[in-house]
Amino acid sequence: MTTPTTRVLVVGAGGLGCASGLVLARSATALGPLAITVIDDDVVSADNLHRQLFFRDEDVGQPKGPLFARRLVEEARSAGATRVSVEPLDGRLIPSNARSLVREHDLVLEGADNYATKFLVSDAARIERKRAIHAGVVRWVGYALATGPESRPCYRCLFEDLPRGRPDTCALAGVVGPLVALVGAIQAELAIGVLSGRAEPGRYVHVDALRGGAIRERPLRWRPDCPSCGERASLDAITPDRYVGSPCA
Amino acid sequence: MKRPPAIPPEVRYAKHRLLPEIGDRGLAALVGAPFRAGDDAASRFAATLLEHSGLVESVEGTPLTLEASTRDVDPKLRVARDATRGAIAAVQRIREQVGLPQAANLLRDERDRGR
Repeated sequence: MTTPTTRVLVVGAGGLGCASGLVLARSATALGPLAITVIDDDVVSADNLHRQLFFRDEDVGQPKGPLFARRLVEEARSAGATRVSVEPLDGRLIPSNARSLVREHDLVLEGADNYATKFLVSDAARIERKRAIHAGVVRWVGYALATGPESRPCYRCLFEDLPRGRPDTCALAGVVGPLVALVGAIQAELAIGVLSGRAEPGRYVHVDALRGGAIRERPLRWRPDCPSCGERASLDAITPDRYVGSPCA
Repeated sequence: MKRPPAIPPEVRYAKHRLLPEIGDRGLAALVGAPFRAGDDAASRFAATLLEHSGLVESVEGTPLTLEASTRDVDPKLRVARDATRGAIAAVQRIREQVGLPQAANLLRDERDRGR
């Protein structure tokens, strides 16, 4: 009997995507065949290089997706995993394509640089009953969050809705390079837990590298009044006006 | 092959420079600072991260401090745990190098891992 191929959608080929993708690729011999799709419409910039591990000086100005795909396959091969394929999609996850892209995959790794995409992934994953692993980092703080089975509890159970005003962003506030990799590694670990078929409930991991001094992991609590996965959930369609917001980590 | 133009440190490490705890002074302390890393997977990952941050691997550097090994971890999770250990060591080294106090060491708190 052949092992079925697991389809993983990576949203964002930035620092989180590079680190979680790298760990996933190096773990692939133990996970079975992987078909990874990465979606990103950005090009490599010089100030990406301190945290985006797949990119080099000569890549500046080049589209991230194809470079990400090539380097991820190289990483998998060097770890002895030959059954890993990576398809780059040059574009963004937007309301018109979110549900179909999520539906085509078994798991979503979300490392987007804006809150609108984070909430869009969350809602599409819940509607399509797929699990998502979210992550974000800014300054010295980061988190990774695994939704529960069929995405209940979900990202909205914790973060509720897009922040108002102008939230902290990597672009404005900066970020510690190795912390991005740390959160990406934790994100990959959460993903591997799900892909290994464990009956994992939702989990939330918080990292404060400046104060607090700990990586704290807790169950993700289901919120009965969550509009996406609560008792009277009303969010059953993707409407574009819900996903207008500021950039983030 | 044509070599790409050199990227000035203030551009390459702009996101470090923006952090008040690093700034220009911290950047000067990071770029070119030596560190020593072992051959195990966690150390190699830490070395990659520190080199991306401008530090330089050297036998003259201070050795990195890593959390306990992952020998007893589920084999499927070993790569992830080694990467986590290496990244923790790299973050710790950045903290030390820019002069942040050691009081708040970044450690994985296993007490909260209950289901």
